[in-house]
Amino acid sequence: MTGTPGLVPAAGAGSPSGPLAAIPAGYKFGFLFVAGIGVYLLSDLVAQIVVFAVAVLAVLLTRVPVISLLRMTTGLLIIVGVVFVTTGLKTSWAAATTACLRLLTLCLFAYAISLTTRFSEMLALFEAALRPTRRLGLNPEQMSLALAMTVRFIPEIRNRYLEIREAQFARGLQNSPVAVIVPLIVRTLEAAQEISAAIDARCYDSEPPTDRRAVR
Amino acid sequence: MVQTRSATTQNTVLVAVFAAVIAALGIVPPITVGVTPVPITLQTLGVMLAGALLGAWRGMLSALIVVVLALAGLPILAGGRGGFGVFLGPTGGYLLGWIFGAFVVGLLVQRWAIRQDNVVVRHLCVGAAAIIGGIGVVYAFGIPWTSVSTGLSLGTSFTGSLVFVPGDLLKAVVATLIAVRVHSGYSRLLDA
Repeated sequence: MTGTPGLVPAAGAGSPSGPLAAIPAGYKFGFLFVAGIGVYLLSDLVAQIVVFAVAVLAVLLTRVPVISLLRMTTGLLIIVGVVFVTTGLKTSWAAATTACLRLLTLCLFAYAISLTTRFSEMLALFEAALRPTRRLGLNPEQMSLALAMTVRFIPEIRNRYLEIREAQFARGLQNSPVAVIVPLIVRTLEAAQEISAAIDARCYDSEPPTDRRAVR
Repeated sequence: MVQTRSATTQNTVLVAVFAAVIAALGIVPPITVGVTPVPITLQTLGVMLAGALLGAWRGMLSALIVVVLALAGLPILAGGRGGFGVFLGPTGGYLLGWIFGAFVVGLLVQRWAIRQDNVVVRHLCVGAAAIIGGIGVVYAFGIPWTSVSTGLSLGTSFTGSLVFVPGDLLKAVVATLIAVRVHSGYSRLLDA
């Protein structure tokens, strides 16, 4: 991955490759949106199976090993299995097949898109989508700052949690969520105060230039 | 009220670090609480806490950030899931529900629950807020979504969701204990 060092790649492992990775994220999400409506308009079983086959192909084109793909979709497959049986018993097996094919097709397309789009590309897309919210009085720069800061702090807070849990293990409190999370929250609040002081001290100005008179 | 720059920065940082707390609680090993035999993940506890500790708007923004990052493909949902597939899948509605759930928890805690003078009453009210927002509102989005996404009837997906109620009630209790304790140390947390 380039651009954002130390970042976790999107849902799969490794950097996205395959022919789908070259398509801009905006087009892929546009496609997903259309597909989301499209699968509900298709009522012919053959057409549904064809679209489902395309979705399977799209996932295979991500070049993610089949084992990781299966691990990723286990939960989904279990739910789809349950849905298939309950719908089949309650209504008809044809309706059950249609419902499950629709769900699987959409989810597979979505996985294919997630797996072939870099995380930084996704964030850029979201930021572009957020830009018009300035007219509503929101501040897209602050939102980008918050998104970036969250990503930066997830591993930090996870480690802090594990540290505190280990410390409480010595007191026999490792399974008491209160004893673990209260110190975590208190430390996090203290860190938040230090960070915002540091941001202000460096005059990091995320406000749009036109709003400065309110501050000075 | 004219917000000063430092208040804006502080709010942004609080929202961001709390989003990180919600995300981190989803990827730490599950914890065995008290009497339940099944280990539970703490992610929804994080959602309740964000509302109860930061208040309605900031709590909601924290939950929103987690959902946005998960959609973008960061594997931060319980069990290392993430990506658009989760959102379109049967459980996607619960994710959407987090955003509004955190808001409702925050609103109730901020405006009503934390202002109770009696300690016992305060605990009960914060608990009620966590249950209404963190369970009621979240399920109100999750159950219909499951039903639309899978084609199951509303009744069936309601029955299916009941499996998670005991765990979530336990989390509401834990969230209450944590929130009341943290607020008694940081009484100005909800002022801003």
